[in-house]
Amino acid sequence: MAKKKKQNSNNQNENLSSNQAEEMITRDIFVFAEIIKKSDKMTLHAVVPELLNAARELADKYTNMLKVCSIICTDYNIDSDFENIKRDLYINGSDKIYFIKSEKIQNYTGIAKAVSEFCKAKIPEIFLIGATIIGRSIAPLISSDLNTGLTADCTKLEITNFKDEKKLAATRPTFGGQLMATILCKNLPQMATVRPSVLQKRGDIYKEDGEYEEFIPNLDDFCNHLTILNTEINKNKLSAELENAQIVVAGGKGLKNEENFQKLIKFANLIGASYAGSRGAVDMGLIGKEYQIGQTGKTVAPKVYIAFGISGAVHHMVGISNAKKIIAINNDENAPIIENSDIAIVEDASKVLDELIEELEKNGNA
Amino acid sequence: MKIIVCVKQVPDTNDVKWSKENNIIREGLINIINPYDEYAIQAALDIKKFNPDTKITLLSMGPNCAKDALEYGLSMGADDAILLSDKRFSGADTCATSKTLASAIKNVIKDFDLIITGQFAIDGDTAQTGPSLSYHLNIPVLTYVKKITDSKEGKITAMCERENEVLTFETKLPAVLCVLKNCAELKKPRIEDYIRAQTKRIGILNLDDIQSIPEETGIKGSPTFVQRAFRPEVNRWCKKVKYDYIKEILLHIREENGKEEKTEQQ
Repeated sequence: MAKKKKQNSNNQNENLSSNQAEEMITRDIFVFAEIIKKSDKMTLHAVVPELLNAARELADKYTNMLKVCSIICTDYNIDSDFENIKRDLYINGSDKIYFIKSEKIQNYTGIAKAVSEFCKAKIPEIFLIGATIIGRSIAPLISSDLNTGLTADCTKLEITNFKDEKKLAATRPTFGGQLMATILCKNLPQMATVRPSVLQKRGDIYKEDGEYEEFIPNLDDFCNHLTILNTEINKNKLSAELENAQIVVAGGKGLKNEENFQKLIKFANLIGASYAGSRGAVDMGLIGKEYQIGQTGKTVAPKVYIAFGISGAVHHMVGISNAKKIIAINNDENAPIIENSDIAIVEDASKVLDELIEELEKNGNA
Repeated sequence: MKIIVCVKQVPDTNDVKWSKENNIIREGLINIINPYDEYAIQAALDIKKFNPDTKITLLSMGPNCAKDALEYGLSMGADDAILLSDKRFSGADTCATSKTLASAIKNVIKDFDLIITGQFAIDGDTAQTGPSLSYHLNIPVLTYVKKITDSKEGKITAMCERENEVLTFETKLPAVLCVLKNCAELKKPRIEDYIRAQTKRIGILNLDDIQSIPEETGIKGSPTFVQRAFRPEVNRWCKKVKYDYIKEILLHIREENGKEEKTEQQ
């Protein structure tokens, strides 16, 4: 039964791409409105406004008939915060909100199934999802169910003309960040995930209110196999903190030992910055994996990023490419980070840290 | 228990050189086993320690040289390995790759209780093949697994990382687990392990062997395609500061911190 449905949507795609292009352009752009729990309040993940703004820009370039639709589908009870969530979605760029509801949605596998059933009914042109833990867990399940392509971790979304058709051109780092690839998708929906802090949210208010519809998916065939035995607060709540920090101070292998890394943390505290580490520092055990910045770690976009003893391998630079200013301190003037920074200081990183701490303790905080 | 560990051979992306024409020089690139997959193998070995009748099969798709990654996994202690290698598999995106792996599991391996994969591969970093594989096999998937805590009587328990929480899930087997680094304590193989591994078998299977559909593999079976590839541009001032660098650093910090104070006052 499910197989047959899949076949149908495929055929539809083919027909549309050939001669019914006019009709296709009325299809909408979906954005997955991930809900997170933030100190007992349910709220949108910070990536959602960023995705909505990107979706708006894409919609305007496709044709102004395209709507940007936010898809709410969550295993949290959001009743008490629902009005705030709704308003945030309109303000940040939604024309319409779909709320997918079912008692069978108890975890991410249920979310994935419900959302993909919804997509089978509405086939969007483009579907954007945050490259968060939940986003990266549900997106491949949805794309597999819809038999379409999924481009992960995009850093840029554009519209391109391909064989007389408008297509989503999703650019992402690949090859460990050494190479950028612009990827197109033959099928619909064209799905992509984008990391938090990579795109900008809009500065103004789009709408105070808009269309709203609820959708009850048919989940008769869905069987939930997962049971949650235990939930504990992630001890390092720094994730959001780090991703939103204005100043980030990070250390790499060049700091060599624990003692020097403690200096880095002290310096960060003195100037009220967040601290982090490179993959090298994490591998050496100087700092936990949850503080890692780079392709397999976190992406940050601070106003100032100060790198101590980080060589600047491309997989690291991918994680800080949106930093406004990069200050690099490294005693190797051939380290790639020197060329890729705004301010380069060729000096021993721990020596510079000593001097900074001394100066701050003598003459007051920054 | 029968465990399949999916393994990918990846280029060591730390060590990429560029030609004058801005192309990656592929000759001399060192290939390694995807570091996340090493942990996947170790997690399987840890289960085997408590269930000695466990059999661990490695499964990979790639060119002939991907045998190196499988040999490494066999040295770690896996029992046997299968490499899916066929020109018709090449150019596959995660959609085609997961279907190809699923064909081999359904049609050749058939009997299994658990599949473990790395959460990411460090070259593509898509994190998609594991969950997609679970979809095609119609079995549950746990993502971002920090630790496997228990496995018995057809069930497995694992701690999974979430945005602000760590959730402990229980699921029935068979299931797919996508594991993070450090989910197990890695033991590097010793020389005698390498020697012992040479007697172990790596089966090489092609498209017909696994009864895959040609239209669902390789480039043909991939809904995504690369339109353009280019070297990332860097647009930084690159100002080298030799003297008074402490002043310079603090200047930029104060500039930023000062702004914040101003907005607070408003």
